[in-house]
Amino acid sequence: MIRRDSITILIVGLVVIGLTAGFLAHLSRSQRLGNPGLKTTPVGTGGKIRIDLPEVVLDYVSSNVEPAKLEVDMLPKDTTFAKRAYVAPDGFQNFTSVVMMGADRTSIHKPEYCLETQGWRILDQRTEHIPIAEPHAYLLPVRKFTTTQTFRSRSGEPTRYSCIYVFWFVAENRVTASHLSRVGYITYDLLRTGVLPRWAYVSCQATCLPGREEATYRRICQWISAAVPKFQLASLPPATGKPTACIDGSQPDSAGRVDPFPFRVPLGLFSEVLPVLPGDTGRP
Amino acid sequence: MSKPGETNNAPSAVEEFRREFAVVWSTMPRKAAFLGLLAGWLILFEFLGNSTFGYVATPSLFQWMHNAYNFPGSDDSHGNLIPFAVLALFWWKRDLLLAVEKRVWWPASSVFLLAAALHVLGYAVQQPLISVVSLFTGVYAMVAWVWGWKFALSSLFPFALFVFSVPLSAVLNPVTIPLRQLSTDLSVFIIRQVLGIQIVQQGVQILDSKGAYSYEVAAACSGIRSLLMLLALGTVYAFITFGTTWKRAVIVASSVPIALGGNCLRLVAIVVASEAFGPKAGEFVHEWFGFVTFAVALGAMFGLSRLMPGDPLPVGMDRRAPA
Repeated sequence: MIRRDSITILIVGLVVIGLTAGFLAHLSRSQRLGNPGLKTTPVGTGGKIRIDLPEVVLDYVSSNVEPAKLEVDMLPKDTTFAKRAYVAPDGFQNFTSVVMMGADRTSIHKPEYCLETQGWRILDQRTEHIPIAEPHAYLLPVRKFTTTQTFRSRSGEPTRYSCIYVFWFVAENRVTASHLSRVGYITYDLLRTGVLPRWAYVSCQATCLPGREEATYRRICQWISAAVPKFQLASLPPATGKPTACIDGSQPDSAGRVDPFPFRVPLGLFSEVLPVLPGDTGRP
Repeated sequence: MSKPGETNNAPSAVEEFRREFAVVWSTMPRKAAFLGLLAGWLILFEFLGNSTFGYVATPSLFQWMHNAYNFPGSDDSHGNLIPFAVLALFWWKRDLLLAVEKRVWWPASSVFLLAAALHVLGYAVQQPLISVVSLFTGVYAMVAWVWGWKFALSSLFPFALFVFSVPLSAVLNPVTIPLRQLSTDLSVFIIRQVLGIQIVQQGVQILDSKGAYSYEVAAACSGIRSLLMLLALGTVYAFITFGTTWKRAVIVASSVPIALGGNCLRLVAIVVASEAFGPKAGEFVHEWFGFVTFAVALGAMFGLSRLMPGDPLPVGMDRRAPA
């Protein structure tokens, strides 16, 4: 025979469980995935999309770059990728990558880990603000990493290179350079409206010889300033802070070209080809 | 030993377990309340446990956990065994638990309410890990509610082992990434300085100077899996072997350096095999040496425990004592 205290505990506990279930059922009906903060085009059926990175920005022409198999295999299946290598007439290269999540947030990850495990040592990291003119003037917050790595040719000769890595996150009506803010927005938006922001992680990177980091960053800055209105829908309120000066061009070296990076393939975060030096075949 | 013609009436182990379980079961009060609450709680998490749409397309938190434990390359596969380990340890500790006074403790109902609220939060922000914590917190709250705080305190071990049921590897990147780097750095030091083999290191990549092979210490090779397993095993071993807090802490804490050492040993063995016999030998060692190094790590932990003098376990827990 069940005692009275058992019955009381059971009733109270089941009421708590029942109320919880009711609230959860309401939540499950109201939650949805948000829209992208970038320009996209539907592809086929099943909700797949293509991110529309511009083919031409300023005097840069570009070519499409397929994501590395390692990256595709590592990230969730509903991740959308877009990668293009932009080359200026003087040979300067800017590799731009976009990774957009689907329903799985783990598509978006911290580049610090990937850079360091690829051997890039982060010397400096800071937040910068890049002036964007359209749809209205505002400042785009970006994280800028200055990294370095020493490569060796087969003969063992070391050569040091720097890489400027710039990234930010964008979703519908959301732009931030901070991981913490991004996670905070996810929590805030889900609690407030039940909408999971569909974040995209946009990055630009260019390599250079040591001593050319600032000039390289200014080139990236100019490119971003011109390119973002072409592919990004989300923006921020009109500018109030002090922007980074995107000074026109860096000075070419004595050979008439800007620090040519000798590698034959762009160094994406998941490049499957080790960096090569002139004269190397590139494969271990 | 029975004589010819006589039947052996000694009960089998299964029969003995059944009899003793029946006695233990009949001794526990308010079973209906606990089982009723438990059933309702589990049903809640089965049908409204997981809200992350698309990631693992199931409303069941148990299915989400199963996926987290068993997807290819998972570092949380030990989660499959934890519930069985906990149940076994509860049985092992039964005499002590039966002797504890059992009374209804109504303050635990507020903890139960908090656990439910935590699940709502986890569901709302689509963080199943929060819901997993809520699941076990709620069960523990039920134990305290139905049988009292003294019983709950006595149950803390092995109940606390459920922390290893939380799939942590996804949030342990801040640990996994430095662990990969540390494993690589230590292994390269041993290979270069101790063994005298000249290799090139680029981040977490190890290449030989002639270009015959290259390895990347991937996330799966960071040692996090063996670290979590050793932590779980070390915790169990510490609690069933020692009665003193500091000795238990030493055994549990030793899991970290032992796991790291075992992982480095494996990485060194892969490179040495590649150097001596070629990349195929390195692949072979990579596939099979993990078991060897884990056994070595366990042996190191047991060896460490032998260095500490034994002490008596609480009454009812020392099953090594003769009846």
